[in-house]
Amino acid sequence: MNIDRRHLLVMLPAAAIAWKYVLAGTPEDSPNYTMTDHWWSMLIDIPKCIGCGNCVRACAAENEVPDGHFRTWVERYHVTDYHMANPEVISPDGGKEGFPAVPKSAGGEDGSSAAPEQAGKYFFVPKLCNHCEDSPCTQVCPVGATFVAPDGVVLVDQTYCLGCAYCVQACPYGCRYIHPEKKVADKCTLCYHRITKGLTTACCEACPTGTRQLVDLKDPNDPIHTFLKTHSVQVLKPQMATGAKVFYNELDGSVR
Amino acid sequence: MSGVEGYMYPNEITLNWSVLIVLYPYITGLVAGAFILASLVRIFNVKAVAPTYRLALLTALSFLLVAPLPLQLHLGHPLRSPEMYFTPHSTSAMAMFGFVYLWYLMAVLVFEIWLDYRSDIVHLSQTNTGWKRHLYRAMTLGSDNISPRALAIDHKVGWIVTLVGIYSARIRRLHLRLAQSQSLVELAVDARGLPVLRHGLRHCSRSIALYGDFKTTQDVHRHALCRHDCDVPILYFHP
Repeated sequence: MNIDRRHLLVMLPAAAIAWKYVLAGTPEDSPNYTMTDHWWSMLIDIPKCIGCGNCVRACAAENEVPDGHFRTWVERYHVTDYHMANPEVISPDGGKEGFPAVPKSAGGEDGSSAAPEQAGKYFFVPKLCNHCEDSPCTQVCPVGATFVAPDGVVLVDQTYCLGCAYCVQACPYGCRYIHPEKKVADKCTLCYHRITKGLTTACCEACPTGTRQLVDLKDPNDPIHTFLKTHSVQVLKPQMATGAKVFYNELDGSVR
Repeated sequence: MSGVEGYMYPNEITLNWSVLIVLYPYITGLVAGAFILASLVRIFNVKAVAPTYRLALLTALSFLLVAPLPLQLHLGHPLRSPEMYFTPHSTSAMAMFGFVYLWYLMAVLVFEIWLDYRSDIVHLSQTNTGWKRHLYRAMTLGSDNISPRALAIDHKVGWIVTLVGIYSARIRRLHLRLAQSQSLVELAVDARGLPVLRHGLRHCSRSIALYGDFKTTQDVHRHALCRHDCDVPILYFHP
């Protein structure tokens, strides 16, 4: 290849700048953590949830979640008798400060009769990003800023995100939002900065009853495998076929 | 009546795609209308509107250049938007729509305008001097043949481009609806509290009519796809 001096003087700096961009694309060295060894997920045990809101507050503190937006939240369902398709759902500030008391007249173990509209069952459903295997949010991102990491966590590259909110629209679970200051899409990262260092997520750490448990599906010693074999476990909105990875133990059919 | 009343997922209370996004189909509707007017002259030889031919084309071009502006203003990071062209995500309707839009803008509209003005541009490039001469010479794109035969070829090529343009506009509109259907449904779901608007929207779309069962817009969108077994959700919300 015959390159004269003039061409070389132009090409060399251009090549140096291009090389800088190539290097910028390579991920940081992480000798203590191999992504392909893990397939992260979460297990939520519905009967154990008491609706205290610890998880919501812990997540907001750990990840500096802006007010009015939620990476995780708790919903309280009230199902009267057999009306499974008409539950009454509340989530006051995402359950951050807990929930209002159920009215006394709702009936209880003392056998008192309840007003018909207040009778029935009440239970809590903590929700978060389901880190779907076939996630609709990664499908619709116009630039590919949101992606499924090799260890199963759905992440957002906030230096590349345009803030178009297409993924926020596309998520069937309503777990994404546009960060009001950064103006990019934001969501639960499964506390990636913690789980890659061997810690558990902030919400699981803060949960007092053990409702939330971080799960590594690729770890053969993880108790999830036994749990899945011995309990009735569902995912949210299975009809969407999103490959959601957050498993709910004893999820009621009225949960939307 | 089934369905959850009076509850939205906490993150969905903030409406992300609102008026700035809705402006876009309105403006491109104007573009399509102007283009139809131009095509009446070219394809259907309607002599009555012939004086408006150039104005219609220029109207279409000017609106098409301005149409992305509300979309850019809506973005959190508008300066990153060229990334949709440089590194598009092939599964995203929005990214692919960028190319559909670019096709319509360049291959149809600008090309057709150039074809119509070509003889004038060539004439101007030959009669002007100084920097204007260079400008017009660049705009001729190297052509300088304005014989009657060349103009007849221009006319014929223009006919083909207009025909392609009519179909391109249709494809562009459908693709737009695919990408934006979720936002329009979200507007409809938001209109739950306004019975008159809801009733009107119900008439506009059969997929919106299903929303009573569902809490979120994504439910309606996907359910509509499953129930009606079609690839494109059918929403006729004309702004």
